[in-house]
Amino acid sequence: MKRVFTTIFNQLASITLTIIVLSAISLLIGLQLATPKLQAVFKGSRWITVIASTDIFRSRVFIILLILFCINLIACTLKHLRKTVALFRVSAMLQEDVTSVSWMTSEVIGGRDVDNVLRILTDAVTRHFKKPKLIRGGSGIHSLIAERGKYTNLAFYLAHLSILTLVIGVIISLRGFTYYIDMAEGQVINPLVIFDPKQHEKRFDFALACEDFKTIYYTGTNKEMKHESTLSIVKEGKKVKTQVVDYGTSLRYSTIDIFQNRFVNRIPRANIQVITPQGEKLLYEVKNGEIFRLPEINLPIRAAGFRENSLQLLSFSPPDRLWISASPVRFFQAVLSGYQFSLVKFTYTEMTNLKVIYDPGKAWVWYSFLIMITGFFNMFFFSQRYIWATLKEQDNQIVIKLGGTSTKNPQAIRQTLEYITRELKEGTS
Amino acid sequence: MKNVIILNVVTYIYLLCAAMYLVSVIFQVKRIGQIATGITVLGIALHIAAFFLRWYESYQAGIGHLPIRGPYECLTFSAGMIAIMYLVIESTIKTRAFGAVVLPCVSVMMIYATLNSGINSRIQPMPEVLQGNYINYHLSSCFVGYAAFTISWAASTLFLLNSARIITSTNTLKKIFIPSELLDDISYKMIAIGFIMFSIMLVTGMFRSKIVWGRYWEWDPVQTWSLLTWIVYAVILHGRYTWKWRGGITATLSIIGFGLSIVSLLIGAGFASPSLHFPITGQ
Repeated sequence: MKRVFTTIFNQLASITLTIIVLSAISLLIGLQLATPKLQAVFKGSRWITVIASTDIFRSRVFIILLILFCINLIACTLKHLRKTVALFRVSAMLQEDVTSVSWMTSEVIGGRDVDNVLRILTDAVTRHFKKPKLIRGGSGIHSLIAERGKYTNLAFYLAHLSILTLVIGVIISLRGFTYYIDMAEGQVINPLVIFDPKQHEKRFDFALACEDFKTIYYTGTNKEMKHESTLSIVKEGKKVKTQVVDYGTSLRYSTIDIFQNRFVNRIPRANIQVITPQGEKLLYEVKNGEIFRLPEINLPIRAAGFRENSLQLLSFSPPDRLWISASPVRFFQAVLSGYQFSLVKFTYTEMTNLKVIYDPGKAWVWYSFLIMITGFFNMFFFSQRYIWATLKEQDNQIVIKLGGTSTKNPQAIRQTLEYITRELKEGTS
Repeated sequence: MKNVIILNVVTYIYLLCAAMYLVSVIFQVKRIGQIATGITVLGIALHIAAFFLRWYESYQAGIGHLPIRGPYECLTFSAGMIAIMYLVIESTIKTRAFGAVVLPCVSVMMIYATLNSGINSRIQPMPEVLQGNYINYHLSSCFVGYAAFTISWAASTLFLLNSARIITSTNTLKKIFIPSELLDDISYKMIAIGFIMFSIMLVTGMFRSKIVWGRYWEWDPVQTWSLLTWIVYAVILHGRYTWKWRGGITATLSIIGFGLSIVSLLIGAGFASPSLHFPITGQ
């Protein structure tokens, strides 16, 4: 059982699987991109018709490949965990690396003063590596080992982790949404309420105030450069944050970002009068698409369409439509039949259009970005270098073997070894 | 606009340098090579000056944006980055043979940008969607990435020519021979730089996409081709670390990756299929 598990795990963690999955993803992407051209070439062919009618990026195969890629990343990361733990134990690391040698030299030095040779060798190595470790052997064989940049191996984890974090962030972000608000100068929305595409409301414990909005033009022209609005977050009567927003600059507060979307001239707003069954007169001001709620029964009603002198109202439970004008009219459904609705007037207000982005996965995407760049920099521009030397007393001579390896740039380790050899020769001559 | 005049001069300087590098390498005249390096330094200095001058002039014109928007600015910026990267490589590898390949590429890009009547060299107002810092990071990393990939492509092509013994079998070409190990190393380093820059471009693009289009990923053709490019380079780097890929396979994949990046660039610039990225041209 354990063997089967190990085999499956090794397959899932293999780089071969990574390459296969990435190639398959690339192939599918290429196929989707090339479909319009292929359609022109293979007119009427059945397979191209099937491909053309499939949204590959949302197809099961594509999603399975993406999931497989994530599993591969996780398995590969776990597989290398043992090696990473070994990083913190120098001896374990060195044993393993001695087997892979990028460069090796061999020198024979006369005389029997091993201590002097070891001292010269240690000095030469110290110029390139911090804290070389000397291991004196009982049988006349001594070793010197040194390494640097061993923690650059962690970059591998950072790179993998960043991609996983990015995927998680994007998945969490699917719960987010964008909502558009029109606001007049001086208007305060208290509390701020936004709606997702399914009309579920999200209510915040603060108010949003729009103090000023303006259009900026390119100097000396009437060409619009950008729109700006001054927005404030008001909490318990106090402004806690104020920001001038534009298309690229947002007011960030709580879990939302508010951007300028566009500036809208003269938005019509309908003034509606509702007479309750008790004879109470209520006034509402709504724009097209906006929802208002009747007291006591708390039913939402949406302004669903504007005409010159009339307005359509839409109730949701059960769905019903009603066109209203100056004369009071009623819905047919029983729950609303006691209420009379009439249109008082349309008012036209200059408004600024704001884009509220609720994105719960944003932090994940940001952190993944930072981890990714740190990981890639470490992976590509820093390397782990390791050298070792053995000294053996043999026939009144000292035989020195020098070897080394590097995860990148083996040329550099060769130069280092050549330098140490030169130092050794000069020191012992 | 003074910056355009300077960039025109820079084009001729790069053209002169390309010719001098070729003469220096083919006729083995070291002195001409040294002069070519000196003139390239001058060209780059003027290029940098023109870049900052254009930036300053854009503010004076009341427009005010980093000059990496529109085909003119993008091409000249990329050409400048390639020239700078080449100079760094030349000072590291101590050979001018690579300049005989890279500098002509730089010259062609500059000639296309400055002498093509279809490309507007004036500083133009940008729509709101192309304003802001995200776009600056997105575009600058994109074109630095392209510059690195271009050099990697040049090194990979030379590597394959070396492998096919086309260079060593021809007397003239023999003179621009660069050892395969060195070409492989240049190609790898440039891919590493380009890959990081492309990653920055993709992620900053994702943030921008969320703001403008409402989602991090829209499967827009430019996004998709760029992702494809990124995957190809990721495969190269993975293969290099894990299977110790060297030489031929890396060079071939690097050329494929560069081809894909060019497709993405052409769509983004509005030369190919429609894309949400089209306003990037600023035309």
